[in-house]
Amino acid sequence: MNDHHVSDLKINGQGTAPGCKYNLVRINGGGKIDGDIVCDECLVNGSGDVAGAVQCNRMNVNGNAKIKGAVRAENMTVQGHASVGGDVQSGDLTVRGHAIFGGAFSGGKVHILGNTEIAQKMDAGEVKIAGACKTGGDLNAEKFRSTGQFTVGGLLSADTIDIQLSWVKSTAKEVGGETITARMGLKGLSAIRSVFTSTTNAPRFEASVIEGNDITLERTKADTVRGHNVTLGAGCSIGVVEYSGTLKKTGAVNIGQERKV
Amino acid sequence: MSEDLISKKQLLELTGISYGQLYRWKRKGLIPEDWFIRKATYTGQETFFARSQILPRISKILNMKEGASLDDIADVFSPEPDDAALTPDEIAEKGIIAADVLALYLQDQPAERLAFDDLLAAYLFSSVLTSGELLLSEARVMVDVYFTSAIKQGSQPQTLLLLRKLGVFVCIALAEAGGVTPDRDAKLIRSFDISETTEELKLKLV
Repeated sequence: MNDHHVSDLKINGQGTAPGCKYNLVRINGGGKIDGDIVCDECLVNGSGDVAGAVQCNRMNVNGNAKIKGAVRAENMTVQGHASVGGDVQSGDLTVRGHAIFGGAFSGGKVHILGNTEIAQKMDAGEVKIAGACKTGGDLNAEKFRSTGQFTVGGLLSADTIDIQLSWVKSTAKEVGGETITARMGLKGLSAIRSVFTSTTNAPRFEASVIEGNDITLERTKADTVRGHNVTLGAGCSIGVVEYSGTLKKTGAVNIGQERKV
Repeated sequence: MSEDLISKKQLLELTGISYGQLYRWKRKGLIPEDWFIRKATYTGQETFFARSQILPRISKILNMKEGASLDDIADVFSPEPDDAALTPDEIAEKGIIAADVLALYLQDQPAERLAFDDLLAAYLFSSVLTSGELLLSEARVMVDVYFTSAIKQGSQPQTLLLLRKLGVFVCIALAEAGGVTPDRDAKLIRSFDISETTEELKLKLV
């Protein structure tokens, strides 16, 4: 391949193209690409099927993209449906539609407004979840904030973990960080909902172990909570609480054992 | 093999670090994933560490923290060799190897710049010579064994053993860490754990 003559690939009807180096790849109809592609921008508006891996600066999926291999991008946005067989590495990731990754994800800023499923672990800088997110393995970030729903199959670890509980339960196997907060959001719609659901005290967040410096929890079920300063609010059901600083209870809480260490 | 274990709770108490720090270091790779040993205890799942592994690591991290970013520290502890190649002048300037010892090394292995592998060999060479443990000719044999093993195995050896029996010097490179039983009259002069030496050298490069 000659670097000086990189052409665009545009598929508007039905078409099949070989894997190769392109400048812009745009699929508006139904496009199939036989191998790996390297390009500046990859745009899938219709239905795109890539048999190999994709390496690009910007990837934008508005339609339906199916990529068998891995994806490496500076910026990835999914408005439609994207399914990637391998690992995904992207500086920024925004999902407004539905994304399914068969491998692990690593990247910087992650914003999930739609639905994302990652089979293995996620390593990121800043994660914001307003939709739903599921990881099979650990979720590591500097900052983690959720106003939506998440399921972490392994350890959820970040410096700050801020969970605004929604009416659908979130779970993590373990949670570790500096500041961990899980509180009911009493703004807007959730305030109205809480009027109807306040009679049931079902947990909205569940983890086996939660460890951090400052921990504030509401409506949380955990086997063990260990921390320096721990504040437990209404609806908490904790097996063992171990704290080295203070333990505050601000509502009706159910604690099996509490130990100052 | 039963190791002396320390629970996460005891570790935090002993070292004064917080959960936040520990999890941050884990995320940054300063503490390898496989050092976290999970065990079921009567109080539920608990995490343990091998005392001999974790305590020196924590104290090194705490000592380095001043001035170095976590990513820099993570590089030091990664088993991957450093990609910087240094000129002999830079090496002497940083005080890693004395100029005259380095000149001796360069007689056999001439190079304009030393990549990490070469630097490590030179570092071992200087270490055994300055301690007076080996003669010059023996140190040369050791460097030769080191490189031959690296070529054969495709990676650095894990351990270098220096033995002497009845005045005769023998050097053995082990590709994997494991026990070696030399004969009773052989004297073990020195055993280099290469990953430890790598770490030591990287600390000097920071």
